[in-house]
Amino acid sequence: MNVLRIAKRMLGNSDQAAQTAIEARLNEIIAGVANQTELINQRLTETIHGLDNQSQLINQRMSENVQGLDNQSEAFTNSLDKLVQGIQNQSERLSNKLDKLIEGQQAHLQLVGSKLDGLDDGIKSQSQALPIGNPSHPLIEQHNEHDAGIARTIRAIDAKGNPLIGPKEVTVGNDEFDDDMPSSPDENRLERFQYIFESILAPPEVEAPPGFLVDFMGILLDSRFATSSGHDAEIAAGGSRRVTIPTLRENYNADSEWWFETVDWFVAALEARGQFVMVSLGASYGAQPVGAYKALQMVNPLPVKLVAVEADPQSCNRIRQHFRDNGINPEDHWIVQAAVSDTAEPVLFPIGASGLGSNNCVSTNEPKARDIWIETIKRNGDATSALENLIRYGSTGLMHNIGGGCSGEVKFVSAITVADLLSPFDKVDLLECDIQQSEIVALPPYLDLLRRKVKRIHIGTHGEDVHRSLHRMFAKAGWDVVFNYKPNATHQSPWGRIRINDGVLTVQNPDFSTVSRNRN
Amino acid sequence: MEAPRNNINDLEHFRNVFEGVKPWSGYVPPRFIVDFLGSLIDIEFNSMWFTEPGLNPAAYNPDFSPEKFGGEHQETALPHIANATAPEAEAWFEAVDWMVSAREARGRYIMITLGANYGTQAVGAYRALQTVNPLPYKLVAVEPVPGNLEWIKRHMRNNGIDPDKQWIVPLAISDKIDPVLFPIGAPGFGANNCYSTNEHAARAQYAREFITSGTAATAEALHNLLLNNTTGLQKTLLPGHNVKAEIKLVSSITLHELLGPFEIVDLLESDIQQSEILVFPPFIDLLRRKVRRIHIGTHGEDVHVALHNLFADSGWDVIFSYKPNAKHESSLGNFETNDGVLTVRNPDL
Repeated sequence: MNVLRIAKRMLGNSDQAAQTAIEARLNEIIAGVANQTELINQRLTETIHGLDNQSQLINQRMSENVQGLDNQSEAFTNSLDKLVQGIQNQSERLSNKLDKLIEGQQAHLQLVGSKLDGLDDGIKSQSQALPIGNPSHPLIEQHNEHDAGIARTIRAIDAKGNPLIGPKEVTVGNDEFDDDMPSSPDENRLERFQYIFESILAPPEVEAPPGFLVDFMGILLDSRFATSSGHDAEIAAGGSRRVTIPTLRENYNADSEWWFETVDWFVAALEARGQFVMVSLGASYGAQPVGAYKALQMVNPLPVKLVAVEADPQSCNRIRQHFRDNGINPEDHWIVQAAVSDTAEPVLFPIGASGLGSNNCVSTNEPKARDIWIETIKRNGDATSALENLIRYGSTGLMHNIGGGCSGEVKFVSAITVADLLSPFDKVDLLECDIQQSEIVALPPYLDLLRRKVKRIHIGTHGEDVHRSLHRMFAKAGWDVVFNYKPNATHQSPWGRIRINDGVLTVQNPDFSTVSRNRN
Repeated sequence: MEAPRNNINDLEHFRNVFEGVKPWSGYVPPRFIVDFLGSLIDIEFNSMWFTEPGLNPAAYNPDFSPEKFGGEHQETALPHIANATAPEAEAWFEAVDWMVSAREARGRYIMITLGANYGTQAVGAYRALQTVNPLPYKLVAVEPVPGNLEWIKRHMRNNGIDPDKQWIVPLAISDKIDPVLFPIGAPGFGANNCYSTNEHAARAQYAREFITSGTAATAEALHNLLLNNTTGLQKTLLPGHNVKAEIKLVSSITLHELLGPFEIVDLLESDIQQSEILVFPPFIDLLRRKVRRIHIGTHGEDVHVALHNLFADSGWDVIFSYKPNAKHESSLGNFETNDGVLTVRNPDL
């Protein structure tokens, strides 16, 4: 009570009433202060209590966070463990595969080695048995007589001409190139293409929609277009199909031509730069352009222009459908309904039997064939109706057997030349040709143009004389001959015998072939 | 420079279309004439206008000699439309379309000429491109008359164009790709077409003529057709003139095949003597996807009106539409037309 004592000293005892009032007031003040102190204490207690609560909450949250971090850390650790385990598994699998591959390669090398040894022995024994240096030996005489027979046959063809081809038939018998000898260093070196499909991870089985066949590239083929497939119930139902990558190994009697075509699709696709242009002459339902397109998508996706030339209107419709079935918009490409010929003059062409792929104008359009039509019309005694048919409808009204039990109506159709097909483009990556012997009419006049524009040509040849003539022409003109297999023959490959129906002639333009040369 | 949509025949918009183009002047080689872009034209390609009486009375000259042309320095003038004769007016519209299409081209210039004759349109478009917007180019010239095909190549070479790098199409243009009966001959006249020789009625008439002439005529016609792709018949191309051609079977092509190799065509020019009414309508959708500008020389008022309506109804911008064989008035002056002029522009491109 220091304040009360100070007040009393100031006032003295002079005014008892005032002193009493002051004391009362001071007591009130003291009581107020005491109350406030109590309140403050109370608030402080509450605050401390609140702080205690918050501290407890924070501790609780921190514990939870620590627990969460512990959990996450554990999860991370688990994931890392699994990842490491996965990598170890994959590494193990790869190691196994590599071991198997090495084993296979060693076995293959051993096999090749033993075969080479055998071959060497065979050659040695045959060499010893050969009557070398003895021209009067019966074997040598027989061989010489055989050669002379071939030469006589060629001269006979030269002199008489092929009755169907007429005056434009192939001139054979030029000995500048021995057809049994390669004209290019890399000719028929099939081993160069042994691993061409290696990068293709084709699944063993592919899903095919009902009514479709499917191949290793996933190309869908309407079974109605496949003359050899039939229409069995399995195809009609659709479902999973086992597919295989093309191979020549043990491929006797199988479709070797497909292997060569597929190789050319992939090589052309791999070598393309900027834009891929592919021209297919005698496109039938469009197997070749679609194949080339799919190959391009797999190994070197680029902008693409496909050119399909086909004289048969029904086949042109099939090309459009085959394109659509495989995700290609036909309107973005160039489908030309015309015959391929040496000039733009209309040709007499057998129209019909779509999909058979045997239609051609060599046997219907050459002068000798045209003579035959006139004679036939005269013999039938219906010149008037024939003339009316020709002028009004462009048709002879005559049917021509085109093989496979099928025939086509001989009509005038518009023709287009290789020059017209190449002119819109600066460069063509792959020109594929399967025109049933018309190749001997359609290609030779444009050899220079082909050299300026086309990187690679794949020709299905028809007739040995045609094959030899085209081989000689390209070789002489400096093209690199890649594949040279005569038609209708069995050939030896590094992997066994291969049977060829259409001949295979693939040539590469040396002016464009830096990529392949570097690779080789 | 370009007219706004639906503003047909707004010639005022093209008053200065040749601005910046200096009319060519220089030495012209003997036997040549030259235009404002410097296109050299061998006088042989136009000699019939001087030598054929009545064909062009103003030009006819019995003393015509190719040696009287060229061999001197010449000044040229820009094309004009005011008080233009029919050939002058048609040339003005053609030149305008060369200029506009050349200026609008991007990346590469593609020009197609149907009924190319000796290639005047292709070479003109090329010269315009070199003058205002030099770009890589591809010229496509469609012409079935062999004499004209040789002239196209010559005309291109005379003007610095390598014909081997262009696409010279030796076929008739039609609505279908079947061979057509086409009058072959009389190069340079530009009057050949298959409209009057290939239609069903014409074919039936030819067959009837042979058959009613007897067995020998029928046998000969059969022989001619099957061995030589010809009827052996001669047709007068210009009535009253000794201008004849032989009616032969000729391979044909459609716009579908012509446009197939290209993504964009900058200018499609057509002067095919009425065959335009067969050739264009089936491919109106394809044209809309690929062609920026079309210039058609129309033949016959009904053909002109039908094509105008076809393009207008299909949403094209009609830039020029002047009927054939008529006199016209414009803000740039009066002019005449012989062939009609129909220029349309693709609003999508």
